[in-house]
Amino acid sequence: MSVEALGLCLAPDLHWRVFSDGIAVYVAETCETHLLPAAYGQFMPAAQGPTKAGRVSTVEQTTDAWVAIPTALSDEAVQQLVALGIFSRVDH
Amino acid sequence: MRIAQLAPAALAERLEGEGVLLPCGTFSVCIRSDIPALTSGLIQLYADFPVLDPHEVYVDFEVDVSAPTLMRRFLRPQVVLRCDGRVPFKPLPLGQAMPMLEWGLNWVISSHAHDHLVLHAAVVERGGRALVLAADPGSGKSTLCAALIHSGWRLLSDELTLVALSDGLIEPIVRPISLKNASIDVVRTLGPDVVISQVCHDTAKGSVAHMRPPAASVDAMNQRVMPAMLVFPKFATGSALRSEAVGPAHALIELTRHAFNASVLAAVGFDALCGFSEAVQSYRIEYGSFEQVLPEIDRLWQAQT
Repeated sequence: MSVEALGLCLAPDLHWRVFSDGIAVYVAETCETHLLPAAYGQFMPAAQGPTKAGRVSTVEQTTDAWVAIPTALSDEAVQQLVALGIFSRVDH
Repeated sequence: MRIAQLAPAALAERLEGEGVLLPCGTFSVCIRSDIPALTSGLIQLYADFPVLDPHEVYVDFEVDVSAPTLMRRFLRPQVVLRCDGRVPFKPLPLGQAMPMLEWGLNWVISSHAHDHLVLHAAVVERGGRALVLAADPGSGKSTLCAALIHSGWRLLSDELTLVALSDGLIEPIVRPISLKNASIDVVRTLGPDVVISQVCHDTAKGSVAHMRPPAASVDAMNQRVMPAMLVFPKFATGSALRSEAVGPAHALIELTRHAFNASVLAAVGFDALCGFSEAVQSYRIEYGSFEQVLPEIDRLWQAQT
């Protein structure tokens, strides 16, 4: 399902790193770091590539691209992610 | 020249005058004081530290420990710490002059070393790799750190782990080890070569004392180290040994609580935490004695080498 249908997108200025035991997410707006289950990686885009000379960063950052939010997320989970500043509501 | 090579009177005169310039991690700090207890404290705890030449080294901070007012030299005597003219803490009783200097130096580093990720964690080294101990106050972090260096590890810091943002290496900040309450006597029993300062009672942290860092650790204070292992230690009297691996994402989240400057560094700090968490093997260890925890740390250390 597209984000337009759910009215959601990943929040701007979001940074995250996918680990074997979960996803660490940094929300710049709140300066908070959260841990999401590894399964949530399905709606986090792929690596963005090198960000520093000689060093490949594997910390991802929100881009302008829309990201499909899986319908498997419950309403409660979506509300929680919005409250944490990880998802944003899209104004139509 | 080292502190131990200065006669007490000469050290006191220098402290009252031009000051004594000491290395403090990546910084050099000029210390001034007219308090005799501070002179004897420096001789006892900083004996092996080099005295830097202010004409050759940039002075990062000027720290002064003295009475807040003339009256407070005599009436219920107090001390106050000034750093570059600022007073970051309320005055304390005169007897707490040395702890106040130590707490003040911690503040100087943790509030200014923003080219590093500053973790509230002890760090020791063996074989060119670092073991980091991150824990809440009262978890036995410094006591375990003292036991580790007494069993052959090199001290980098018992309080602050500085991870360079540029390359992820850990910068030593060799300083006296801070001990509280029951841990003072525990560390005293480690051996006759352990030097512990006079105990200050009734501080905000209870009874506190400091242990002199080993001379070998002081001599190696410029040797940066690659992080290798992270332990979240938890001492509990009578506890059985419990040891478990912690995944990198969970370690990162827990480390965030121990990062003094995470909010200052923002996304850059998150990037550093990610790199650090991935570079180390992480464990949580609960224990009730050194006899349990030291062999367990050795076992885990050997298993990953």
